[in-house]
Amino acid sequence: MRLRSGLVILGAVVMLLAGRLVQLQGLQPTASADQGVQRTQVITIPALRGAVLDRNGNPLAVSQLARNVYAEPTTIAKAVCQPTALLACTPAAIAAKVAPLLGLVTADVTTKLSSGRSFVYLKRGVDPALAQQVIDLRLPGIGQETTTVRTHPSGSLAAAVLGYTDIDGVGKAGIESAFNSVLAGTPGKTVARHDAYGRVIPTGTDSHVDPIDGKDVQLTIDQDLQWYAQDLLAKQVQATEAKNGTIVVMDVKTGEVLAFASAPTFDPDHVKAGDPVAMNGLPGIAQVYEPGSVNKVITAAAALQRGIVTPSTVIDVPSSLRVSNKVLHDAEKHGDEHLTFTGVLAKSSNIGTVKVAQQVGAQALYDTMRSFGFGSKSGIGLPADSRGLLPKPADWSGTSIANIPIGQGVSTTVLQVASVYATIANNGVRVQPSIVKAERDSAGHPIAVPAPPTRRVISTQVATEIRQMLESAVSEQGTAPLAAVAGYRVSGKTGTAQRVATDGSRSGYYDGTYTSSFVGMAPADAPRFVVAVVLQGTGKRGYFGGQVAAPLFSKVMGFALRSYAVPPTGTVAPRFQLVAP
Amino acid sequence: MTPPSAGAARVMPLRSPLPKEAPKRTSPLRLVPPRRSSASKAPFVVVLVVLLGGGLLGLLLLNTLVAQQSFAIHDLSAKDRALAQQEQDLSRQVQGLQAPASLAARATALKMVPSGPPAFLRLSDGKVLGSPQAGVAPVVTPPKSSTTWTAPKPPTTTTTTVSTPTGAHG
Repeated sequence: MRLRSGLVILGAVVMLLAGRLVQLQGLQPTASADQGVQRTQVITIPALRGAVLDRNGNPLAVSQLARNVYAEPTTIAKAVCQPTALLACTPAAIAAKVAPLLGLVTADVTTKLSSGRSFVYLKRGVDPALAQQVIDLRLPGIGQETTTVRTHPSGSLAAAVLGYTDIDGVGKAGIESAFNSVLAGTPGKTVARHDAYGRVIPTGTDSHVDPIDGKDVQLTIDQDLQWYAQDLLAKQVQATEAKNGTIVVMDVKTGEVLAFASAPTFDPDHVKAGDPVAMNGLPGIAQVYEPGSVNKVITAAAALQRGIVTPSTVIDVPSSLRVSNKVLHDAEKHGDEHLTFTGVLAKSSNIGTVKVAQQVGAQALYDTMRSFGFGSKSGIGLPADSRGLLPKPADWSGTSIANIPIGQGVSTTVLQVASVYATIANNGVRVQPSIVKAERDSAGHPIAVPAPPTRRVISTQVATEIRQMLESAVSEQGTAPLAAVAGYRVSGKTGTAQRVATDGSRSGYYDGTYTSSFVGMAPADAPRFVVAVVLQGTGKRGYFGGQVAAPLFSKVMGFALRSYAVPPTGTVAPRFQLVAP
Repeated sequence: MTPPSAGAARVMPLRSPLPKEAPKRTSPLRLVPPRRSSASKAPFVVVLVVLLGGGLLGLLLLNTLVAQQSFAIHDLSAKDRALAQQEQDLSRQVQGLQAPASLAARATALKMVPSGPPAFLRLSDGKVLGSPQAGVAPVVTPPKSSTTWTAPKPPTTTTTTVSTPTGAHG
């Protein structure tokens, strides 16, 4: 009897449970699901973007953890306002609390919170401590998620080289863009179950994948030299009221770019939409210009390599020279002169150079320019690497032989020109310019990048002769005595060219401003560095390369030689006769 | 039933001599009255109660422990986050301080000047190379630093000797 009554009770309990099961699962399944008794959520864990380092491991661009503060307007709309509630619960009240903390306009935040959307970012890349303050207000429908932000400890140092990243952390220019896949890493994720109150159910974690942080990219840039060059350049561009300027410092043996300064530059932490420097790429490789007189060394190299002249060959330089329908003059008016070929280069005579170029011929001149790297990409591996413009001999007009040898009617980038001088400095062997030294994995182990290709362009003897001839340009008799570096032998060449307008109604014509440049190397008899200084759009306050660019060369070269403790060679520069007796 | 079992029933009488012998043997087995346990039920109940109680208490303890540890985990991971944040802030500060622009600004504030060209002593022949010059104070104002760092004011008690400009120009 007792057993039977027990069975009846047990049966009743089972029936009750079964009934509840049918009710939950069968009759109103959506209602329970809507209550969100349990929710599975996939949380993306951002990978930390790799850093960009200078050649000594100093950080130029680093990523840090930050927070995105978001709102769920639909949740806010559902929030029940109790009359005694201490917490804000209407969009306006929430906005009034959140906006001042995040530095936003209250009205904008109210609009966002009332939008009725399910998810909206209030502010991205917020400092974690600040985001926590917002979260601690315990407002309905306000949350935070982890993200990363890119910061630049040295401000705008090498900004044009580094480029920038967008709000989603994707590289959009410079190194950030070229090495995006290396720097980015792989984000991880956690699939977690939450209860109705958003708490993670400990036993509910389904899977977890750790993020793989991005690799670091180590540049060949030296941050101190970069800063020094960038600082000087910015001041000089301002002082000369130039449009912009570039300084490139290269190690002649390795082709490594030690400094690549641009002015004006931009703040990579706050890139303005449409900023020309940020958007158009590194000006030293993206912007082309007529190199002017600095191109005369290529003419000289072609002539010397083919044995057409020697440094002491005497050239008759008349006061003017007619080629086809063009009449050539030299920068300084003179009567009939008898200059040595060294004198032609040192005094930067247009007429003397063109007379030699006519003997060299169009094809040989073209081939030499190609061989030095004109008309092809520098290969530095950054976006917007321009080929420049080098017309084929078949397309040359009658006056081309009077223009191209002296750097007109041909367009190059600053890096292409710097590379020509680095080739001469490196005894005629061209090393492709490079700006990335290594990639580093998360443990800091370097992954070396392949060595840049090299090729011989001119013989060692011709390279040596050109270096000696270019020493005369820096002498008191030459065009750039201001380029001298105390204690060292210096070779170099000035360039002062009329600029061709690239925009506006005068596009394609000379616009009345100048390109002022000086490119040189030191020590002249055993070069270690090449420094190229180019100022664009000068003319208001001085425009001769020997006046506005050469002093910068002297300072930057001096700083580089001091920094790397390069001793003077202790030899004396041979004195060449510039004017024939 | 199957026919073989019916057959078996028929052969049963043949075995009758066997039971007849049985009474002759005295069997060692006999029915024993169940031994009445003198022990009471109390120890068993106590053991059960202790087991159940112990289990319940253990479960409670375990539960409390898990809860406590989850609190500890929460606290520690919060601490970990805070410390990581602090480390990040500090390293950002250090990176800002060691940036060339801020170093230059502080050096200028301390009335330091960039060095001039040095002299090199060549050991092989004892020759002095280069033309050394004293550092020259830059005439321009300290560069505008793009970092948020501001140069501290140099202490007023320090006396700094600035080398006289020699008019050196690159």
